[in-house]
Amino acid sequence: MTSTYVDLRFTDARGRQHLVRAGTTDPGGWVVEGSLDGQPFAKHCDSWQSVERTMFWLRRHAHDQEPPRGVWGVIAAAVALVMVLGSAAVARAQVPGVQAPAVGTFTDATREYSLLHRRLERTLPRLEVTSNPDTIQRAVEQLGAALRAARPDAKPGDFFTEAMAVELRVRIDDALFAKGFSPADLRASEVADGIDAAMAPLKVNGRFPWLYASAMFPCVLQALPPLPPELQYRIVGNTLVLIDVHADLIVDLLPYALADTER
Amino acid sequence: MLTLLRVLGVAAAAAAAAVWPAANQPAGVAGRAFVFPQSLTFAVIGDNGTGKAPQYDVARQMLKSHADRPFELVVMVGDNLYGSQQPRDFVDKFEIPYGPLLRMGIPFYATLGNHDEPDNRNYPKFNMNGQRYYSFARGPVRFFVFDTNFMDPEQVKWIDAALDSAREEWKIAVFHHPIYSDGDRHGPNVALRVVLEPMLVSHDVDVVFAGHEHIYERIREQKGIPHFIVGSSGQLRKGGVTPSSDTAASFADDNAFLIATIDRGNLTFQAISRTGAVVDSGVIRNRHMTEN
Repeated sequence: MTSTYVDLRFTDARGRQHLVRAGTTDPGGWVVEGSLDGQPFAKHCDSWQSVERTMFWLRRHAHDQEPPRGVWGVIAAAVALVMVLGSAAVARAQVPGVQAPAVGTFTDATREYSLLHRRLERTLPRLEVTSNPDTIQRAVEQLGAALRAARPDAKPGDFFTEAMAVELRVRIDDALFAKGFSPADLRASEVADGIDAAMAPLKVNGRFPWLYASAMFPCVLQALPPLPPELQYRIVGNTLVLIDVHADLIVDLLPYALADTER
Repeated sequence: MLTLLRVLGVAAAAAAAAVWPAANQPAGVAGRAFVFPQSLTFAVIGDNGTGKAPQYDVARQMLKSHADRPFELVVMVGDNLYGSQQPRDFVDKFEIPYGPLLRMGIPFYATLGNHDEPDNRNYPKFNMNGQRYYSFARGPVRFFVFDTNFMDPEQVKWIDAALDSAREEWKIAVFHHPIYSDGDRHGPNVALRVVLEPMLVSHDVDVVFAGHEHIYERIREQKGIPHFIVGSSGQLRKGGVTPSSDTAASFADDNAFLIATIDRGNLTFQAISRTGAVVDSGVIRNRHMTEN
């Protein structure tokens, strides 16, 4: 008996959108239902991670198969299959490439954060171009301390909410795949930079260790929601990090951001 | 007669400078205004900020080279500071090794590399003016400095607009991660290439300088643009290059830096090793310039 469902959508190489529906089952599992190559299918998954892996495979399949026109179009209709829904609240995921509610919430949250950042910044000595690196460092540390004090209970998921996490994982995966890259390429570039991501001390409200930062793939940045200038994304190992670059502060963390990551 | 020509040349240079101030070129002027008689000599260093002996040796060599071929500015292609970036590190890894050049008033223009903390953009001796990407002009050249650590859509838009509006004779792009490379460690950053190269080509960029790979390499024109990797001015990956058919020249036996002179339609360059040996040299012609 499903009690909650999540609609998962993706776009194939031809730009068509596909919908797959994941519903919770007892005890604690999920069933993913949709249509594959014109045939309805259902897959039981014992965890959300397994659902994401299934989605990863489906997206890959959609890209690889280049099916005859119309077959995948059936998916959208087929997945309108009535699912047996319980009376519990319904959770909905977002549509990659489309402004989903979670993206709007995320964007609002980052905007609010940047307002807080600027408000606090005005109360502190300004981080100016100065010949004294001490002054730069002090200003950065003071701003970081003020932001920590203003958000003492900051925790993972404040910005990367559960719904947003799904969206981000799908977007990262789609962006890489669309350009012929894979999560392994991201990791390879990190290794080439001499970074041992496992050693990176990542903690919300902690100082971001720039030693562990490598360049973001531009295609990934193009797919992620834009940020105010105070914030940047970085991927360290498998973790997507939201950083306040003016305060060297970790604002949020999304572990297992890469689709092929085993959790 | 020679004196008269020189006087006329200086007058023409002054007139040109008055028409086209070095910074803030007016937008909307069709075509490149090829009216700059000035030349420019500059040095390029990259992956230099180790604070160790090879960096200091290269810095001393730069000083020696400056005596023979005075350069007006130094372009840093990133990884300006490695490891700790505390105030003391700015001294040990930048101000001391390049102290004599800094005291001569030679400005250093920095690019953010993957080892550089973003706050370093506020350090005035890096001349970034608080910006992670920026452009500046000197004489006939406009340099475009990108932050390839975070090539977000906003920066892409800026690059497109900045390259489009530039009217200098020479457009030189500077960024850390090379989009062409035969270096063994990183290789080319293809993800970056797909975003950057179309803009570099369509806006007639003349030369690209990058680093990241701890070698020196000059790559044959790619879609009309020669690419240099100057990533061994402090760090060195000895033997860390496997030349390909795209390699015009490479050097990974010792640390190196580069000096270039732009004079009208020619960019004359010399790559110089830590010991002062010229390990590569040549002339690049500006294929976008027409004879006046």
